[in-house]
Amino acid sequence: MSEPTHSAPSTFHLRQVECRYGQLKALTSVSLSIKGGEKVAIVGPSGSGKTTLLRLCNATLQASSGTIEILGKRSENLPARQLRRIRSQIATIPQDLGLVPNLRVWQNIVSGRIGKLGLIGNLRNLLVPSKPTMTKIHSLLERVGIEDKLFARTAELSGGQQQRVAVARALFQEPEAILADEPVSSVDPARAKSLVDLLNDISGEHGITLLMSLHNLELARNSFPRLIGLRGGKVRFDQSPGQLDPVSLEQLYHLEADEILEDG
Amino acid sequence: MMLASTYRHYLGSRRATLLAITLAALASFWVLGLNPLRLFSGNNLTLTGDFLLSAFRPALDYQKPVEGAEPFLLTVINTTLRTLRFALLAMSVAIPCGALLALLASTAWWPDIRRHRMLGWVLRPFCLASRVVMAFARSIHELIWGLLFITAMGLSTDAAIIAVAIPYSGILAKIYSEMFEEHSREAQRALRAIGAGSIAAFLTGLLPRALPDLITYTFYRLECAVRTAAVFGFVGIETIGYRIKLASDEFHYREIWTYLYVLFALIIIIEWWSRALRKRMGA
Repeated sequence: MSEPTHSAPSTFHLRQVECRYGQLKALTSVSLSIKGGEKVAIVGPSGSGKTTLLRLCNATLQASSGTIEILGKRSENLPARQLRRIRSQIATIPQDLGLVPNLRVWQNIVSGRIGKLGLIGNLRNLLVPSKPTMTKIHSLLERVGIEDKLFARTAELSGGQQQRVAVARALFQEPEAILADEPVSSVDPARAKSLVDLLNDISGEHGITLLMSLHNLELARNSFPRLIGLRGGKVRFDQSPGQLDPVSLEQLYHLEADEILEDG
Repeated sequence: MMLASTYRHYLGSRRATLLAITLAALASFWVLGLNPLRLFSGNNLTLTGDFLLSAFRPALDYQKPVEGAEPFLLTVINTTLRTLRFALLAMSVAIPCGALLALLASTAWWPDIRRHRMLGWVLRPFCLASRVVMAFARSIHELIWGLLFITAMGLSTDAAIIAVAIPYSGILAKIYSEMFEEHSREAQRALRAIGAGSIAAFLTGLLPRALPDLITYTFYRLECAVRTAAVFGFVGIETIGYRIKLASDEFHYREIWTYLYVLFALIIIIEWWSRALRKRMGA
């Protein structure tokens, strides 16, 4: 894992960002910068603002105040077309994966380019895909290890296999960054580690920025060179795992650090 | 303790509801003067017996042959095709009208109207108008629509088809729009997050998911349309119902049973067709 150079332009740059849902403050004065090709895990307890932070990064949510730059463009008050263009450059793997269960695996993957191709282009791909498109999808499925499932019905796949379909869809999008919101919350630890490793490897191979929210602190410590700790909507730490001290962890979860590590 | 008392309370209210329904049913029988025993009294018993026994010997020819008439089985086939054609024509009008009304009444394909407030002001009146049209169309039964159109246009199959298509459009629109609203939006949201427009996300993320249910319901409505086509026979439209009425006037029960079996077969075929399609859709 190579550290990105400091001259790399920022994929995400947040300055004094605040985000409120009505009276509830989801994020308070968050400032951080994530450079191109960087791999970052966001950790923190439930309700700490992890999903909100990710939604700000793919511009599906607007900050109440502060500024956000995504791929060098300010994301607030953008016209719809430009907003869609930015989103089409950021792949998002939501917690529920967002697959259509009764479509075939290749049809779910082909929709990864819906933002770039628009309605007509995507419909054409869904109904009469070209041979190069199918070859590309097959090679992506090979990369994620489920090439035999190209024509399978998505609902017939196991949870772990469906996660890999979501990863393949993200890759088919050819994004600048991948945002993954608790992608491993519903699988066993071994499968969780293998998926996080896969995303990390892919991000390294293609120089894609990876921003992943994780419950499992141990997994985050072992797999990411940079951790951002959120609690109560505030950044509590932003460090490499080596610099993390038990005090920071205690602040994050209000539990004994040992307990957290064992639990992980 | 708490749980036990809640459970008792819940069971108690259920028991009271069931008792009330039973009492209401008995009271209705009394008020309407219904007496199931009348089925078995005097001549009625013979007629009921004849009718039921005929079920085992459906007619393959006229019970009382008529000189120069079309062969019975040919009449059965022609009448069946006419009934089916009636139902399919009514549905081929109702499905596009229903789908259009459903789209207008549904918010599932709308863009984020918090961002596009103006668009919200434009779309809302269409949504409301469509819901009013849907409610009006289905609040009047097809037989009453039939009465109106047959009075206006004369006794014709066209009038009857329009009379069925109107309430069916309203019913299909209501069910379609509810299906659009209630189906899970996970995939639609995921596609919006990677830059899909609202209509593209609806067509790719939600519609394929809802399609098996839409198809199942549409086929169920086709079943209803076949039954309704039969009922319109009693008004004089030449469908299975018309033949049943003619046979019934002559007490030709075996002929009636032939037509009833044909209706039954039609419903089975539609059911089988619907299942096969649903399976292909991956539901």
